[in-house]
Amino acid sequence: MTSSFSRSEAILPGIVGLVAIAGAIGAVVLEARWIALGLMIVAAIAAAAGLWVATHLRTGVARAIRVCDALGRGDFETRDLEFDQWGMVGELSDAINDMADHIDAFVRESSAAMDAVRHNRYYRRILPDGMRGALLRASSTINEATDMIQERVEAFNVSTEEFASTINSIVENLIASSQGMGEAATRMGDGAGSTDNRASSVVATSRDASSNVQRVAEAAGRLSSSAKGIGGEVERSATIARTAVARAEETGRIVSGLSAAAEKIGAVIGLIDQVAGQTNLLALNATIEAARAGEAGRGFAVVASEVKNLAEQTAKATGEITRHIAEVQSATRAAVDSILGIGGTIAEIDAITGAMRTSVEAQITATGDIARSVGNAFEGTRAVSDNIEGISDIARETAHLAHGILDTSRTISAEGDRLSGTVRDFLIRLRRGPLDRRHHAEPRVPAGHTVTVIGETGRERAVCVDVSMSGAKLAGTLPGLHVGERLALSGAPDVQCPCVVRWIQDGEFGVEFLSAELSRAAIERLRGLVDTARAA
Amino acid sequence: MATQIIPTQREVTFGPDEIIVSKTDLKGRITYANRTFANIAGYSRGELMGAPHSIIRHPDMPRAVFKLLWDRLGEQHEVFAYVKNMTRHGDYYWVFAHVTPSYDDTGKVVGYHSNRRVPDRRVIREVMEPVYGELLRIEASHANAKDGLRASFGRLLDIVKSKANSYDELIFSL
Repeated sequence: MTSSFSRSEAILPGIVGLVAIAGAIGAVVLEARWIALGLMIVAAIAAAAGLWVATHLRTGVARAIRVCDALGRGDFETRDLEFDQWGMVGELSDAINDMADHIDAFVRESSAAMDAVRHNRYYRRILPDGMRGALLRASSTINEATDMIQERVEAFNVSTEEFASTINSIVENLIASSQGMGEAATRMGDGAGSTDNRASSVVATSRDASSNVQRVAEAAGRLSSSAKGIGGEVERSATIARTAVARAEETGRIVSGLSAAAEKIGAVIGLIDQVAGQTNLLALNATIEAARAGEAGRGFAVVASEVKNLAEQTAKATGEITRHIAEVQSATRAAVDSILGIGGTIAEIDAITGAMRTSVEAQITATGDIARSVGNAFEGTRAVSDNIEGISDIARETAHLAHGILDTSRTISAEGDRLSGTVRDFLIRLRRGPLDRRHHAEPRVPAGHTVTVIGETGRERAVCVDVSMSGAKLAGTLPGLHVGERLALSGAPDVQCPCVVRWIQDGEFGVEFLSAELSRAAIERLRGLVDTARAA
Repeated sequence: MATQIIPTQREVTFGPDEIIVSKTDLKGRITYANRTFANIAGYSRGELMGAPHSIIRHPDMPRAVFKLLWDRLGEQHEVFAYVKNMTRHGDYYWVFAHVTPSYDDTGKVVGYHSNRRVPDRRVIREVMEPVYGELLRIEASHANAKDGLRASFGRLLDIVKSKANSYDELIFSL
């Protein structure tokens, strides 16, 4: 087709015409009229052929211009559909169509590859077959870029996974630690509270004890001084007893003297009695003599009788005195005995008093010791009381601190939760970014109907929040749902849309439909939902 | 027309830097074919214009593959498929077809575009011929064509699911 002859189509009639006209002119000069006429006819035919060829070329070029215009506008649907044209027009047409086909292929391949990247699918590469030159180089560049993006996305995913797990473990540790801290703080607060209570009650008790001890100390002091008083009294009574003993001994001695005097009186009385007896005998003798002397002796006889009477009376008186002296002697002996008894009693009293004094002295020492000890005890209990008040203050402060720590630990725990949530949201947003963009690319429409979610573990109901041809957002909590899980959604009888869970957050989850597995009915159902909602 | 052609066991090929290009309307009627297409299929481009694309369908191709292709195009997805085609003379040629929707300026799908490249012969031999053979047997084993198609399509999806996350991923992993 592309022979050099066919390419001369544009100029061949002109050359023939020009040669014919030149020949004709030569023939006119040579006056060969018929030859000139013949050549003129040839020239005319050549002109007509040239015109025809030009028309053919013009329409061919016009089509080429139209196609090129369309291609220039980016319309790759347009081709030159006048096939198998002869000559250069046919070549031009095929060349333009081939060019359009190759650029079209490149545009479709590159946009499909880039669209796949936009949808996070990195296996889609531009097929280099059929590409040449700049298109092949551009294809290689785009494929290399896709490789790079894939590597980076994978690295990014690995990094975010690591980041997420690291943050999660940190946050878990943080929350666990802060919970432990909170529990410890609670226990500490409880302990401090109970310490405070106990300390308070100990303080009260210790104050009571202190005042009791103080009273005891005072009593001990009084006891000590009263013991000292008793000691004085005892000393005085001992002195008195000693004086009494001395006096009793002296009295004894006096009474003993009295007894001796009485015995001497008795001896004197015996002498008197002897005198009286001899007197009586003398009187008797006198009487006898008087009687012999008769009347002369009568007066004498009377004196003799008187003397006799006197002697008798003296005998009687001495008898009485002797009896009295005997009484005196027996009374004196009794008195001596009594005095001796008194002396013994007083000596006993003295001995007792001595013992008492020893006891009282011991008592004084003891009460002094007691008073000192009690004073020490009082000081001690007051110090204990002060210390316990200090402990109580510390316990209150500790309880306050424990509350503070508990608050802090709650704050840490809440902040940990918040950090965890923020990181989770951040990572979800980070990973969901491309999916969201896909949703923007694929019109996403609000839904609101209930769907059955058929998962690996069973069936659950969920609400379809919004839907597009490529995915859906659902509200509902499914036990054990995880990212990457394969599900099937059923929103209408006998229609199931296979899909994969891409994200889960706050009771909602997003699925991407497995487009290769969607049945015609499922596609129609989805398109129906999208179109109806868009029309509304 | 295709029914009148008796398949031969002759294979024809095209160059690795060549692309077979065709465009169809929404119903699959050819609206453009390039020279390579015309040359290998043995039809003139004038003959191909307006003809159904199934003019080159080979009876060895399971219908499930075309169902998958049309389903995916219905979702406005590009489709890759290894396809065994048949020339006017009954000869066959394998292609690695890439079919995409064509849009107008308002974003409406106005037709489909197919670029076919020389396939990897290893994939044809080791994967496509056994799989397509199985699907074809499934389709043939049902008296009712509809049942056969459902069974073989189900089997195709099972094969995809067992090997990869998606059909595209499977195709690109081959």
